[in-house]
Amino acid sequence: MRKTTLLLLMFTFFISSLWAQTIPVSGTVTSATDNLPMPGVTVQVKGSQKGTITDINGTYKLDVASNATLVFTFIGMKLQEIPVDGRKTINVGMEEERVDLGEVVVVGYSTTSKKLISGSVGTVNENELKNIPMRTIDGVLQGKAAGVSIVQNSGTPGGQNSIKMRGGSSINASNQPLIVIDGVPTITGSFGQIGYSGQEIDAMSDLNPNDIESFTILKDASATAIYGSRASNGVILITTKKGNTQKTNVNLNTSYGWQTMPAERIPDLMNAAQWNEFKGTDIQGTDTDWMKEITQVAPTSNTELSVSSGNDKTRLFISGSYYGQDGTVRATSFDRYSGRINVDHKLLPELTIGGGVSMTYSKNNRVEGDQTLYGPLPNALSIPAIYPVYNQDGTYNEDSPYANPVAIINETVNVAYTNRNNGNIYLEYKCRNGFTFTSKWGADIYNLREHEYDPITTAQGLKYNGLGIEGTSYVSNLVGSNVLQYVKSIDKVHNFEALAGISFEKYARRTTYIEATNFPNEDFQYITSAATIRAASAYALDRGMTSYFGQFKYNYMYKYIFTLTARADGSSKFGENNRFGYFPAGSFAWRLSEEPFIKGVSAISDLKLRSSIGFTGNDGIGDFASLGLYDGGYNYNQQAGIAPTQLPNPDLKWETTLQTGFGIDLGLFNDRISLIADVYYNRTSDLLLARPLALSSGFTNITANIGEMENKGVEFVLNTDNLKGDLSWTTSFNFSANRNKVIKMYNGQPITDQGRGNNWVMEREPIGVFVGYVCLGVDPTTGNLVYEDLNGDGSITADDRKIIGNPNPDFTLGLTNTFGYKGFDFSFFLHSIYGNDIFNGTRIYIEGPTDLDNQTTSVLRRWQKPGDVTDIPRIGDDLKSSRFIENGSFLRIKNVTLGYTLPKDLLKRIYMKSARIYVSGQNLYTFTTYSGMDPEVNYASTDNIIMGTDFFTYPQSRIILVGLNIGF
Amino acid sequence: MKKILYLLTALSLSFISCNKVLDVSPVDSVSADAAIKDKVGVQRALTGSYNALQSVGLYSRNAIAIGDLSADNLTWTGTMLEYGQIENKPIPSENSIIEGMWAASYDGINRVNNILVKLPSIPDLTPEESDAYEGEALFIRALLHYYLSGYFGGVPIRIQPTLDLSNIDIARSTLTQVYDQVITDLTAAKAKLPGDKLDGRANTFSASALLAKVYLAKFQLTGEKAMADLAISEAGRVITEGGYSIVPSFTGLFDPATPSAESIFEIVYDVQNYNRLAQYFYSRDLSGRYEFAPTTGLIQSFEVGDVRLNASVAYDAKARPYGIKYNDISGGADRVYVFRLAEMYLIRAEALAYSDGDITSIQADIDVIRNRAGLENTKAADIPGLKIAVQNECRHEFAFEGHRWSDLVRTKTAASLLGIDEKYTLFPIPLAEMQTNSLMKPNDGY
Repeated sequence: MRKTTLLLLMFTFFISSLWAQTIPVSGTVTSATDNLPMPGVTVQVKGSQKGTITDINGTYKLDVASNATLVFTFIGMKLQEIPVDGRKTINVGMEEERVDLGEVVVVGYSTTSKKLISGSVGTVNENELKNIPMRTIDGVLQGKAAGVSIVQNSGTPGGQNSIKMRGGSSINASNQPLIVIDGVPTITGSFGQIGYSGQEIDAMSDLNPNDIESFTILKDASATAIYGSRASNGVILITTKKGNTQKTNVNLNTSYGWQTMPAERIPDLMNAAQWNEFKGTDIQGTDTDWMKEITQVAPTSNTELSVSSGNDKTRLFISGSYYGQDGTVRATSFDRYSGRINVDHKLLPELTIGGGVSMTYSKNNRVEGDQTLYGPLPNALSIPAIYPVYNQDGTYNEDSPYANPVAIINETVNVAYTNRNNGNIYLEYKCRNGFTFTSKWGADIYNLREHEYDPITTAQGLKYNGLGIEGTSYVSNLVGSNVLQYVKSIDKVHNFEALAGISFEKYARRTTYIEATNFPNEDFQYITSAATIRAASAYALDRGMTSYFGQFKYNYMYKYIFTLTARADGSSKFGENNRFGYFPAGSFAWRLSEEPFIKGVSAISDLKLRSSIGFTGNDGIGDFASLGLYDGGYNYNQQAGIAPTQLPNPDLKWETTLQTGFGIDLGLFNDRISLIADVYYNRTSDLLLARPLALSSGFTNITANIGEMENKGVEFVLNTDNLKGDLSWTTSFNFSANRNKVIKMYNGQPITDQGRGNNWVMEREPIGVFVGYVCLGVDPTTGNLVYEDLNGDGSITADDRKIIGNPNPDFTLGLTNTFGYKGFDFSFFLHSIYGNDIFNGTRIYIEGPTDLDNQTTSVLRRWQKPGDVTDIPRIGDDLKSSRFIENGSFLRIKNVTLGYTLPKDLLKRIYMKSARIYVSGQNLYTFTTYSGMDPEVNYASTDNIIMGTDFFTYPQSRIILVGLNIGF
Repeated sequence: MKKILYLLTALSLSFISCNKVLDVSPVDSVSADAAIKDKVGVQRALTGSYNALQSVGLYSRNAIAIGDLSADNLTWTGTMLEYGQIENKPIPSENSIIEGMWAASYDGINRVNNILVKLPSIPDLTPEESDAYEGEALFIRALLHYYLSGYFGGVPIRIQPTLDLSNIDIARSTLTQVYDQVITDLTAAKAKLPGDKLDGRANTFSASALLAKVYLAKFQLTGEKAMADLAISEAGRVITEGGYSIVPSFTGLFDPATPSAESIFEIVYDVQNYNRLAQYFYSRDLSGRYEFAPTTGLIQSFEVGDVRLNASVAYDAKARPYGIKYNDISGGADRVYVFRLAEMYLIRAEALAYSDGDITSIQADIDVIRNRAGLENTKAADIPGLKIAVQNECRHEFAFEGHRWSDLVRTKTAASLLGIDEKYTLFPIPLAEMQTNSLMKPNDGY
C-alpha cells in the first residue's frame, strides 16, 4: 500500500514537473517577400501530433515545452524548423520554395520546363556539335541522340543520309522525321532530276548547323502528336541562335582540315602482274593504280562569324559562314555560303515581334554514282591495271570495258547550284492575365539548278557527239500558324496550360528539264549550242494542308503531370471522303523526386516516371494515289499518247501509328549522374503498301492501306559528371535498340527482290531482310559454287532461297568522354552500330571471278584444277547468295578533339573574351570485319526497303582538322 | 490606342486560314474516266498503245536481243548478269529481264483493252474510223499475246481491261487456246484495217503477216494441214496484194534514213523517242556497251558470198565481231522491223516444206531470198533438205531481228540444236507473277 502511493506521488510529481516546463508560445507568420501575414500555415511541435494553424491575421498560439522545436509548413514555401529555447514569441518569415524545373525547352508550338515534360524528348545543344567537321544538320547530329539513327549512306559531299527514329514507321511512305526550324517545317529530300542512281542531293545539306542553338528531338506520340500527320517518324525541332539582352558577343570560328579515303579500306585489287597471272596473258608496260588516279587528299574548311547583341527591348543575331568540302574522289566537292539575321523586338511590354531570314548558296560538283557505267569510282575499281590512263598520243585510253574514269573526272561537267531562302516573321502578344497569342508566318524556298555536260572527250559524250542536260527545280513551302495559349497557376498547386491553334501549309514544286545532243565541240557547254533536243519537259505539283490542334496540360504541385494533345489535319493528298485525319495523344508523368519519401533520400536529385500513348499519322505518299489515272507522255512517231498508269483506290487514307511508351528520368547526387531511359512499342496499322498485282493485269501494284508493322525498343542516355575540379571528366553515353517486324501484308504476299541485294518485305520478319541462296562453298571437283537445295528437288531454283541476312542493327550506341585540365580540353566520341548485315554487291563483280572487271587479289587463290580446296570458285555466277552477306557491325572512333583555351588575362590584353584552338580527327579508325570500303553504306540513299547494300559506293573519309574559336 | 491596333492586326491575322490549299489537281495526269471520251482520246490512247511496243521489254531491246541470245546467234559479252542467265539455261524465275518482257506485254494488252471496251460508246467516230482503230487495237493485242507465247508457252489471255481489283487474277490458257484467240483477233483486224501504208502503224497486211505466222505456229504445234494452207494463203496475200517488194540492197534495209519498201510493220523511233539497240550491239571501241556479240557459230554458218554476213557483222580494231544492223549510236532512231516481206516467203516455204508441198514452189520462195543475198539458187531438192535450207535462210536473213529462238522452238529443233533439256525450251513464268497471281501455274522444270 505504501509503495503504490509513493509511486503515484512520484508519477504526479513527474507529470507536473513536465507541465511546469510548458510555456505559451505565440507569434505571427508572414511572407518573407511582401511581409503580409499568412493564414493557414501549419505550426506543429516536432515529434508530436500537437499543432495548430495560423489564423486570418497570421498569428498562432501554442503551449509547448520550452525545449521543443516548432515546425512551420505551407505549400510552396520552404519548411522551417525553429527551436523554442524558452522564448514566448516567435515570429517567422516564410520564404518561397523555388521549384527547380530545369532548363526551358522548346516543344511543339510552345516552350516548357524540362522537368515538366511527360513525353519522350531529347535535347542536343550546340556545345556538343562544335567540333564536328561535317557541317550539315544530319552530319552533326549523328550518334548524339538516343533513338535517332543517322546512317551516312556514302561519303558523297552534300549527299543524302538516312535519318530514322525508332525504326521508322513506314514501308512506302517517308521514314524521315519532320524537321522544323524556328517553328517552320522545312523542305527536305531530294529534288534532283539528273539521276545519280542512289546518291542524291539532299535539300537538308543547305541548312547551316553553325546557326543552331539546340535540337529538341520529339520521340513519342505525346510529344509529336501536335504535329499530327507528319509526326509518326518523330520531329526534330531546331532553334536558331537569337541575340541576347545582356551583352554583345562576337564569335569567330574557323577550321581547316584534310580528308583522305582510308587506304586500309580500299579493296586489294590486282596489279598488272597479278592480272597477267590470272588471265594467262603477258601484257607489259602498264600498271595503273586506278584508285590512286582518281582519289586525292581533299581539303575541307569552315568559317563563320556571328554577332549576338541586344538590349532589354531588342535582340539581334547576325551570322555569315562558308563551308567547303572537297571530295576524296577528285572533281567532287560541296561549297556553301550562308548568312542569317534573327531579330526580336519588344514593341510594347506585352507585344514582341520578330523574325529571321537565312540565305544560302551552294555549289555541288558531282560525279555519276554507283549505278551507271560512267561513275568514276566504280570504274576505277573495275578497270584492270593493264590499261593505261592515256594513249601514246595523249588522248584518253578507252580500250577497257569501262569508260575511263580520269576522263570523266577531268572532262565532264556536273554541277548543281542551289539558292535557298528560309525565313519567318512572328508576333507574340502576352497578356498579363495568362493569355499569349502567337502568329507566325514562314517560307522555305529552294531553287536547284543542275547542269551536266559530257564532251566528246569522254566515252559517254563521244556516243552522242556531246550530251548536255539542264534541269531546274523550284520548291516552296509557305506556312502560317496562329496559336493561343493560356497559362494559369492556382497557388502553385494546380497549374494549367492550354493551347489551341490553326495552321496551314502550301507547297509548290515546279520543274523543267531539257536534254540535248550534237554539240559543235567540247568548248560549247550549254544547250543553246546543241543541234538536237532529245528530251524536254516541264512539271508542276501543288499540295496543301490545313490543321487544327490543341493541347491541355495540368500538373498538381509540379508532381503529377498530365498532358493531352489532339490535332486534325486535312491534306490535299487524300480523296474527299478521307480528307481529315485525327490524332489524339496523352501522357502522364510522376515526379517522384517531389514526394516526401524521396525528398528525404539526399542521393536522388531527380526522379520522374513517364508514360504516354497516342496516335500519329504519316502523309509521306504520292499526291494523287487514290485516283485512277492516265498519264501523258506515251508518245509515238511524234504524236502525243496517253496510257493508264494507276488503278483507283477510293478508300485510301492516312497511315496511323499507335505509339506507347514508358520512361524514367533519374538524377543522382545533384544531377551528377543523370539517366533517361525509355521503352516503347509502336504499331503502324493501315500501312500504305504497294500491294503487288499480277503483272498480267497490266499494272504492277496498287497503293492500299493493307499492312501492319511494329517497332519496339529501348533507349537510354546516361550523362555523368565523373570528376570536378582541376581535372574534370564527363561522360555521355547513349544506347538504342529497336526491333522492327512486319506484322501483316496483303494476303501474306511479300514485296520481293528490291535492289541489288534482294531486300524483301515479308510477314513476321523485319523490313528489308535479305533473301537469297545459301552458298555452301566451292566444289573441289568442278570449281563451281555449290548451293543448298533447300527443297530437295534436285535443282537450284528460286524456291531454294531463304532469309540470309538482316540489315537492321541490333543496337547502336554513342559514347563521348570529355576531359578538362587547366585550359586543355580533350574529348573522344565513339560510334557503333552492331548486328546489321550488309550485302556486298561489289564483290559479285570484283571477286566473282568475272571476266571483264579487275579482281581482288583473293581471286589469285581461286580454284584452278580438280582437287583444289578454296573459297573462290573457278568462275563466278551471279546468284545472290550468302556468299556476299557480311556482318556490318562496326565501332568507329568518330571524333577525337584536343583543344586549349587561352587564359582570360592573356586575352584581355588583346580585347578578346575567349579563344580556343583545337585539333580534331573525324572517322579516325573503324573496327569492323566488313571487307568493303565502309560498313556504313547504302547505295540506294534513303530507300525504306533497299537497305544495307554496298555497290561500289563512295566511302566516308578520314578527316584531320585544326580550328580556332574566338569570342570578342 | 496603339495597343488596340496591334491587337486587332494580330487577331485579324488569325482568321486567315486557307481551306483553298486543299483543292489541287494533278498537272500531268487525267482521271481514268475522262481519258477516252472522244475521237481525240481514242487517238491518244492508241498512240500510247504503240508506245507500249517501244518498251525495253519489247522492241526497244529484248524482243530483238532475247530471240537470238537464248538461242545460238548471240552470246553475252557485257556487264548485265541477267543476260548471262538467259544464255545459260535454266533461267532463274526471278530474272528481271523475263519479268520485264512479261510486264511490258501485258501493259500493252491492257492499254488496247481499254480502247476496245470504250470504242462502241465514242460519239464522234465514223464507222470506217471506228473499224480502223479497232483493227489496230486488236492487232496489237494479238501481237503481244503471240510474243508472250513464243517464250512462255500458254499464258493468261486478257481481253478485258483492268479497271479495278475485281477478277484481277486469271489462269493460264493452253498454247492452242492462245493461238486461237490471236487468230480470232487477227481475222477481225484484217477485215477492219485499211490497206494504206501508214508509217509505223498496222494495216490489213500487217494483220495478214502475223496471221501467216500464227497459222504456221499452230500447224507446227498440232499438225493440222488446214493451218498450213491458211498460212500459205495469208503469206500469199501479203506477197501479191500488199504492194511491198523485196528491196535489192540488203544493207539499205537497216539505214534509218532510207524508207523501206519491204517493211510491212515496223516500230518507228526518233531522236526524242529513241532506242539503244546500237549501243547494246556496238563494240566498246566505238562507244557501245558490247552487251552481246555474234557467235562464232553464226558467223561460220554463212555461205561464201552471202552479202548478209557483212551487212550483219563487222569487226572492230581488236578483231572482235559486233552486230551492225542497228547503227544510230547517238540518236537512237534505228527502226525495228516487226514484219518485212522477206519473212512471208520463208513462212510460205516452211509451211509447204512441212506439209509435203511442191518442191519447186518451195525452192522458188527460198531462192527469192537467196538471190537478194547474192547467193545462187538452193541446191536442196528433197523435203528434209529443204526444211534445213529454210531454217538456215531464216537464220541468215533475220540475224539480230529476234527470230531465232521462236524459229527453233516452233520447228521443235531447239533442244537438239542448242543442246538443252526439252523443258527449258519454255522460259519460267516470272517469279513476280507466280507470287501475286493465285491462279498461275509454273512451267515444267521450274
